[in-house]
Amino acid sequence: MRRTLGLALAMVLLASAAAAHADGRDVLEELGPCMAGAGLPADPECLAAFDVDGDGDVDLHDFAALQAGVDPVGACCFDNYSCEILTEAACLAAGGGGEWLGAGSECGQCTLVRIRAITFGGTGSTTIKHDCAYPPCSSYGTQQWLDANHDGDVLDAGDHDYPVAYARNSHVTLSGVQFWVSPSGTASGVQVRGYGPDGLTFTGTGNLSGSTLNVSGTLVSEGTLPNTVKYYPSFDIVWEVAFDGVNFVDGGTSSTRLYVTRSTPLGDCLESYFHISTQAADGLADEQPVIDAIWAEFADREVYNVDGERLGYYRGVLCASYCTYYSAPELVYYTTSQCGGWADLLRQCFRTQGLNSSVFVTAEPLTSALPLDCGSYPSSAAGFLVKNYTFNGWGTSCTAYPFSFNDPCGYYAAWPSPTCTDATGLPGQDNPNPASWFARHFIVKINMAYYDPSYGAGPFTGTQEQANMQWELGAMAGYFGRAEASSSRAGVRKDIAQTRETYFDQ
Amino acid sequence: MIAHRLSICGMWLGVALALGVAAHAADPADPADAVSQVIAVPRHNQWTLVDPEQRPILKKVVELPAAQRDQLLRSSDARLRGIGIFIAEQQGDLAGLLSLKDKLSDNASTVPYAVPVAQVGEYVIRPQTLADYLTTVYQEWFGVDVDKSQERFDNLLAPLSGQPQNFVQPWIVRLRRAASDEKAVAEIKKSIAALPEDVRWAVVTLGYGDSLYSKAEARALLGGLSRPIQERLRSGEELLPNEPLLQSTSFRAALMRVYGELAVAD
Repeated sequence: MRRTLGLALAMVLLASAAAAHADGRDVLEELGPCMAGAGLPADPECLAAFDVDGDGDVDLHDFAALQAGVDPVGACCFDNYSCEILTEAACLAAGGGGEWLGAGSECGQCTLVRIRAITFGGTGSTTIKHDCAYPPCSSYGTQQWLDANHDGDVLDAGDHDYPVAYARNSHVTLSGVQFWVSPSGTASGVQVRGYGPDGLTFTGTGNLSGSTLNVSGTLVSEGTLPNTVKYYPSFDIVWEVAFDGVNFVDGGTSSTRLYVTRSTPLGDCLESYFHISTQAADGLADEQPVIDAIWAEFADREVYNVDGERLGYYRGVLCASYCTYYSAPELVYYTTSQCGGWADLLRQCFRTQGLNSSVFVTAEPLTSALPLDCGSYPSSAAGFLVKNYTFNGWGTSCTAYPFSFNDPCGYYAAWPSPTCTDATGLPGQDNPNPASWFARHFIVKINMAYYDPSYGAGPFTGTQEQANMQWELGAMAGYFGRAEASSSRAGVRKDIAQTRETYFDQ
Repeated sequence: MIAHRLSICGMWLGVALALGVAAHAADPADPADAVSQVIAVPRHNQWTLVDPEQRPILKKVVELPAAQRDQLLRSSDARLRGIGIFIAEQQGDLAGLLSLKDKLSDNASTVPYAVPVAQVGEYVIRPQTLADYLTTVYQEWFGVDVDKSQERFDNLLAPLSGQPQNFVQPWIVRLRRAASDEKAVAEIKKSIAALPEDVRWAVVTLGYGDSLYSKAEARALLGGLSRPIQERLRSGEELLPNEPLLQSTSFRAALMRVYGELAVAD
């Protein structure tokens, strides 16, 4: 009896449901014969197909559940940017301009929101400058993230992604935060939140006018940047927006290069200085470890500017005069320089991390330790040769400077068969055999230790004379002067190990 | 080289006109006249980077009396102001140098300086802002980088400006520059020996590190410090907290390491 009643009811319901939902007709038609009612044995195939609530039978509960599935729900978007998950009918009945987005749609689909612009700043921030050869170089703009066409990236014409820098342990302060919103409209008190790396969060409110949502005032991060040097190749902030203050929808992601420095940067603040020093010292905070890590970057003789171009020492030239780049800006811009540029670059990397006591050191021949040459107006050595050189028998009559030598610039008159000739090495930055005939050389001193970045050599420690001696042992091949009074041909004398024949001016 | 010579001529003419001396021949024996012949100043006290023909002129310029030097510093010509800074720096007038801090913000005018180049027999001149030049001068004399900032100057150098003799680094600079003059070195070392003990230990230790004192000399001077000062040093107490160099923890650590090597047994 109960089965007969159940079947009859099922057929009535089936008829009405099928009429309303043609696409659900097949399912409901199949369900009818399976409805055995509570307590009655059911066909195993029916159970497998229709026991929706899993209670061991196929009954009206299962029918209702299936019927709801046939009348699906989806996102109902209202004019005031709120949303509810409703059936289509309920959505239409709800008023408020509700637009039903279809079965299975979600509220996140109601409104398209994309982060469009951000300006980084606040206490602890530093404006980074473009690399350029001759400072003052231009600063990157203050609107560091701009997705002008709001397509979710900053790769298109009119877009840009500028680097930013903060001293460690700073809050990140954002202003000018702006979103693009579709459909356009008007709303106030829109909740905005952003999730950055390492637990940094940003919250604020904004007003929508047309398709632009402007966040009011500044957003100061909850939480601070790490208390160490750190390089974020991509400081991603995942943004969310809630027009109703409750239901947050995706607002896109901004990605910015962010450098965290040990302390407030000094100097010209070119991006390559940040790039080299911050990557090298990532994770460090104390002064000496930061110095050591930056030096390690130079010591391996593999240094790259922010564009990934390797920096070289006298690349492609053996005559120093042919390289007319003398400073760190020229080095990072033109990717090659003399030793002065390398010493400057190491100093600028230290300065960028706020280290303020490095000095520029000049190394020259120690005239008091070297004999007079054989020129018509005898003087001490005019300069030195950096290793390596080969010496094959005396070629001059000047006993103080006995090896005949032709310099690579043609500054001195030439010998037909010089006995002192250049050989490969000492390797310099990205150069196995750089220029090596010099009047002087430039290095860096910090904390009473000496560093020769052109060759990645050092640190040289002890007293100044001890450090000078260590440097000289590793670098000096010999010293040159005039070999004859009657001509301007040059002679060379070999460096004497353990005798200091150069000096540092600092 | 031609360009270099042209630039020299141009600068000479500019300076000469500025001084109003174009009408008569300059007398290189007169410091005031020598000023008109300066074409570049050494940036790092590195005189060998300056054309040899310029060196005697610069030496003469350095003899300019303070009143005339100060007149240069107040000149409306940026090059002359730069030469004024060079003279004050070479004369080692600490009070005078410390009074120039307002020029740290002069990023508009420039002074020609000799670029550090490695090649033989060539000299390169470029303009440098007065702010940059003064920053370099302060680094040379006081050992720290004020980075063209009066605020940094106030933080680092102002606390000792009233007692410039108590800065550590100037004594090192004086010793280094006097190195070839034994008599002058002896006079400077005598003055150092009379410094307050909390300054003296640092000057002597740093001087030893810079090979300006022998180990025996340094040990004798450090051994002569009073027991309380030695005990404070050994306990790691921070003497000279206002000394700009010692505000760097790593520099202080390096200095203390050298002090430890020199420390004399009781």
